Amino acid sequence: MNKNSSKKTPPVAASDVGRAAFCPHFLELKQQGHTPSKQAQYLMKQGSQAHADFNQSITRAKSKDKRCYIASYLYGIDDPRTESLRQFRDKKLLPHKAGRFFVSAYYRTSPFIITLAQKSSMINKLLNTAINGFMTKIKDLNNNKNKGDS
Amino acid sequence: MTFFDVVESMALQSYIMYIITIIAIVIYIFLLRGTPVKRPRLVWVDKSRKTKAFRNKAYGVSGKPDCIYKLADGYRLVEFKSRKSGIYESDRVQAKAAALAARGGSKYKITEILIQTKSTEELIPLNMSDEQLYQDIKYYIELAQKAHQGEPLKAIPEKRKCKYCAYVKVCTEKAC
Ligand code: SF4
Repeated sequence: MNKNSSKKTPPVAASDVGRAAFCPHFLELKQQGHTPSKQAQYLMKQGSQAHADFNQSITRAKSKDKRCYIASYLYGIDDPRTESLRQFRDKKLLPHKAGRFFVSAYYRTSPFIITLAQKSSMINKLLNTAINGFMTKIKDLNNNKNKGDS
Repeated sequence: MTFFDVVESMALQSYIMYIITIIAIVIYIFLLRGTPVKRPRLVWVDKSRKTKAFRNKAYGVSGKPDCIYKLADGYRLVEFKSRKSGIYESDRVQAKAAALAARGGSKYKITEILIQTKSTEELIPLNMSDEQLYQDIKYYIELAQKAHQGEPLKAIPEKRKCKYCAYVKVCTEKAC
């Protein structure tokens, strides 16, 4: 490790380390003080907003509806994947009678399934595979919908 | 055998089956159980611009991930990208640098990274020491340090990159 050189220079930001992998010359131009293009400034502003929204959504999720037991158990209560499963529940399942029945059956059985998964790593793995597969399906559905919209 | 005997024996049979099932579940849970698994818990979020970045003084890196989760046996760092397209090498390098910063500048010993875009995600296990992680991205850390010192750095022009590059107008090496 080059500890001596790192002591002399101030720490470099992780974002700059990432940019070095994107194109080192980018960093040189940035260091020279060039102004980023208007389009880039606009995109950066949008990116910061999206990040703020993302971070707010996971913080907010902590205080809202935390049910969605299995996903919360596997991914974490505030994980964006859990949040997208909650959205799927609210938008696709709850408006229909069959969907509501499924959701209530899910709420009744999932605490038991989680207890089983906590006790057994094999059931935990099975659950992981099933929910990950389901997540991929939801993502595909959303992507197809986005493509259709555009 | 009367009709009532048959009904009684059927009821008895289902009662016995019920008891056996319960006993089997209890035996499975308490005797054949595997390793208990804890669910991830959010422990750190980048709330605003004012949130302090992690700083690893030993390796000269600082970084602010989007959030950190506590896992049963470590910590997961999450790096969110607001774009719809896929994950690039630069995203992985940035997330690894942020993990190195968090490892040295906090109690969160990052053991895995989750990179997410609006369409995809990638989980990277970090089963390595700080030194190994540093060696993995050392080349890029040194490039960033050289940039800070004002050294000229080579361009890697590619149409895909230059098209969205913030300095495309002033760059003489651009590919488009
Ligand atoms: S425009 Fe120049 S600095 Fe930007 S990516 Fe292309 S070569 Fe690199």
